[in-house]
Amino acid sequence: MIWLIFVFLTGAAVLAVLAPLAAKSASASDASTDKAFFGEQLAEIERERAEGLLDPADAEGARVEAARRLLRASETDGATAQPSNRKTRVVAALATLLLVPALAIPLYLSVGAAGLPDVPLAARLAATPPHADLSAAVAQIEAHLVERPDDGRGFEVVAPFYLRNGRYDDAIHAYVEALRLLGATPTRYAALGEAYVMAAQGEVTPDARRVFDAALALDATHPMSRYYLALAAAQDGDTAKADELWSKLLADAPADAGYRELVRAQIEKLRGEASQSAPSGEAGKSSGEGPASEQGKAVAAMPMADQQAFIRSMVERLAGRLAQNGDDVEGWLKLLRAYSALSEPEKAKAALKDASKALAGKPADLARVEALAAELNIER
Amino acid sequence: MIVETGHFALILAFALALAQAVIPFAGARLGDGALMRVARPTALMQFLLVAFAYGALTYAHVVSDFSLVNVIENSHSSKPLIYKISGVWGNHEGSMLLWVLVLSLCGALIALFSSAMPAKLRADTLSVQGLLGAAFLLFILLTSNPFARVSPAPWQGRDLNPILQDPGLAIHPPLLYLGYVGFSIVFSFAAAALIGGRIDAAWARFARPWTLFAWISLTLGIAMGSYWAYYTLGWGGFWFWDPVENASLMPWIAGTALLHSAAVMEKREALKVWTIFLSILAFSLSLLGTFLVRSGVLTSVHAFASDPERGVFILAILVFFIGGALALFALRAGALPVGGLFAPISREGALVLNNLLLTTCCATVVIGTLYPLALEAITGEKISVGAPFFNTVLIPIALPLALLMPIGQMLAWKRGDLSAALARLRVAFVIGVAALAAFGALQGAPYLSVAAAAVAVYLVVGSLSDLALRANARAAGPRAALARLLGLPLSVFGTAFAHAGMGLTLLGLAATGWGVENITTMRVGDYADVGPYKIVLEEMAARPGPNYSESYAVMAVRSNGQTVARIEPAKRFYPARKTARTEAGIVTLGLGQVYAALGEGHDDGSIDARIYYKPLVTLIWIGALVMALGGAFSLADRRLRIGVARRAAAPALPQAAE
Repeated sequence: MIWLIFVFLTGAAVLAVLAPLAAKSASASDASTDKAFFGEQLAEIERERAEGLLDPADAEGARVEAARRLLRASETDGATAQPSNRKTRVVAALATLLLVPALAIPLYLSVGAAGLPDVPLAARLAATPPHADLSAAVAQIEAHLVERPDDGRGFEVVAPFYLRNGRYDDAIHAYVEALRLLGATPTRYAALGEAYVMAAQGEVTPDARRVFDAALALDATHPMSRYYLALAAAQDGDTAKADELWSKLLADAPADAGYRELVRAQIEKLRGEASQSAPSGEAGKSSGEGPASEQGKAVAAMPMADQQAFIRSMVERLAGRLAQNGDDVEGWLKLLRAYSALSEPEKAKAALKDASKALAGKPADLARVEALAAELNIER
Repeated sequence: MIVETGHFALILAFALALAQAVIPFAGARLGDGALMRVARPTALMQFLLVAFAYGALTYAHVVSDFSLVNVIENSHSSKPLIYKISGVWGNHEGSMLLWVLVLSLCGALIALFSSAMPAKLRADTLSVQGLLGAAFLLFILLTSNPFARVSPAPWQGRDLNPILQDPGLAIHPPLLYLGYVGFSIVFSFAAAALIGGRIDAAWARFARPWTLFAWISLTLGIAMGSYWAYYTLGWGGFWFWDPVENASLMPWIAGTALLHSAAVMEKREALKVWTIFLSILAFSLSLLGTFLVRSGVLTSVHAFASDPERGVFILAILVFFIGGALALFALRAGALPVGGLFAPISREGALVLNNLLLTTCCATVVIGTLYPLALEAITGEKISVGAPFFNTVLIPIALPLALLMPIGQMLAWKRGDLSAALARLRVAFVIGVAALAAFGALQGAPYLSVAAAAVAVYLVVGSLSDLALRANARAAGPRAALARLLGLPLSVFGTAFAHAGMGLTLLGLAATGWGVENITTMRVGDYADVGPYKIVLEEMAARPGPNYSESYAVMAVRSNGQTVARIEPAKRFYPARKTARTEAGIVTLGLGQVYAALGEGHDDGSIDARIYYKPLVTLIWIGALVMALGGAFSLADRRLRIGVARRAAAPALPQAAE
């Protein structure tokens, strides 16, 4: 079908060349167009003189000037168009007939995609059965929300998807809209707060604190909000307050609550850090190692924001250690992999640069780093 | 199917463009009328094919067909419709397609409006136009294909750069391209004249309207672009001497020179060789501009290396066409007939002086633009050539040019009388001196502004006084004068308006020296003084837009305790690209403007704000509109013109024109 259209188009294009070659008409010589042009010029001068726009003396001058130019033009003019040669016409026609398709079709075959139909978004959305594919479903809801931006349910449904896919700003926007349209509940506030935390890479920002506070104003026992506010205190360095808040949360939690483990782990970490940092400042020594298996499990049990924050803090510590002592090829490889997994191309690029500097004296190690960089598509 | 058909149409247009380049050219050499006749229908068909391809790409953008890489990278399903359409040319591939669309449109226009043109000239012109089209079509197909597809298609695009999501994008590039590419017509005419070895008497007659058409579009395009930069970039500046801006200014200056020398050529058959040269120059500078903007040389010399294919391709096109045209010029120019004679003091003489000054300006801009690039490429050293350089060099050329403009208007063709011309300008001189005193007394420093503003006032009055003098020529009462005024040829209005528009722009530029700037931190309820106005920050709030969220401030502009206007400067955030842009709050009061832009917000609820009062600033763009109007008058004047020498009392020594 599409090739039929192509044949038709090619025919039309070739016809544009063939038609004038086939038509019979004598072309005017250059001299005759010159004469016609000066004839018009003289008529113009005459008309202007008649309308009083030109002094008779000026008109006379202009006429003389025009006549002089015509004379000069006919002197220089030698070539008159010859009658068209039949043979040249046939050659031109055949060449066009052959070369235009011979050029267009191979070129199209090399750059075009003939089999690929148009895929307008609206038609795709209509054709896709709901829930066939999560991204398709989200696109469907997005299209729906463009038309009905007052549908709070839609926003509430897509928000977690955005969050999981790292589209934090979209998630925040969707949660804000859901809050506005559907009304405030502690859970909606807390969800928005979590989105803020994740957008800030694990930091409980002032925005996040504000909404968690708002959630607690509606329901003072809301566990998720309490958890994050305690985390906020811990991030501020206020260990005592964090400890107190988490302990209370643990005490209030029902026995089968899934978050008990997490809270307990946080409290232990808090107390552990406090006791560790007191005797000596060498906390960094062992922290560069990968997560032990229990630690890994704990990480998996954390809410997403926490996982991210935890992973990031580990990567940061690794980076810090390498900055002090760069002679550690395994460390650099780990760091590059981590940045790549966290989709941080800028940091990966910077790390690659630092690694090249640190390992400049060891070509074998450097080659390993560069091979990995190429594999991970890290730009230089 | 529409998309792929569009793709095929584009390829077909390339094949046809080659036919258009070869067959009519061969016809003109063989003197074969039938082969020459091929030029017109192929040019029209080529335009239809490119237009179809362009339509197909637009369709893909409008329906959010994310199987096209170009749509994925520059569109988003929730983008407002107007930006889906204008977004087509808001990216490299699409804008090159628009470039070629305008190029083929120009070819089609030549084909349509050339019935009276000698067959050979037309065949050669369209052949050159076809060659240009083929080169750029091949560039698009091989290095910047907007029809590249992916399968399966993603569900969402990456959105258009927020700075481009503005009505400015809808108007600015098409106008600019009409201007850039419009000069291709004159270029093709010039090349055809050189190939044919003769400039027909009708040559300037055909070239002039196209020059005007391109010049008007370019004038409007540049003015629009500068106003767009003014209100989006948030610094209150409207011209940054950025290489991209210079890229559009260079062909404009060359085009202005061309316009004037083409007038001499049409009326007096003088300056033929020079006019041909300027025709080549104007389009060459357009090509250079395209190269600078499109190759990536500008972002950094190194970006050029990262995408060498495109840069080298455009460079090859550039070298081929500019080099080819100049070589042709060198070979043939000597053989061209020398035209009319004129005395140094005459309309022609004035226009030659104009051309000299304008080409000097143009050379200045070219050097200021290319020198830093060349230096960085060779030594790696980065320097920035900005306003100080251009102001130092251009102002001493531009002000005398402005002084001479009305005088040139008053001189007769062939032999002029300078003292009579000056006498006819005495009113303008008197008003200019009065303006100098008035501006000096009222505004004071900077004195450059005072001087430039006085010259500008003189220029406006002087340009328009030509009309008044002509209307009053035989002093037969006001009614007769009005009748005479309305009976004046349109081109006289054209000259007067274009020159007066230049004067208005100059006045607006001069007045920037008197602008007031207040950079401050404000809270709700605070006020700031700026010039004669008091700005009160009344409210700060946020609101959602279709694909952005916006925080804005409401500011009242007060004068003598009265609120005369409210402005809403804002900051917008576009989540899809995670970028922010400022939206300046602007209100026009009289001819001046109050301009406010928001900066950083602080935790204590205060916000940084830059507030400007810019007296007479709108004149910069009003002047450009008046210039374009003048061009339109001149374009509408379809008379066939011959300049007449007035009988001079004392015979002056005639000199050869070339």
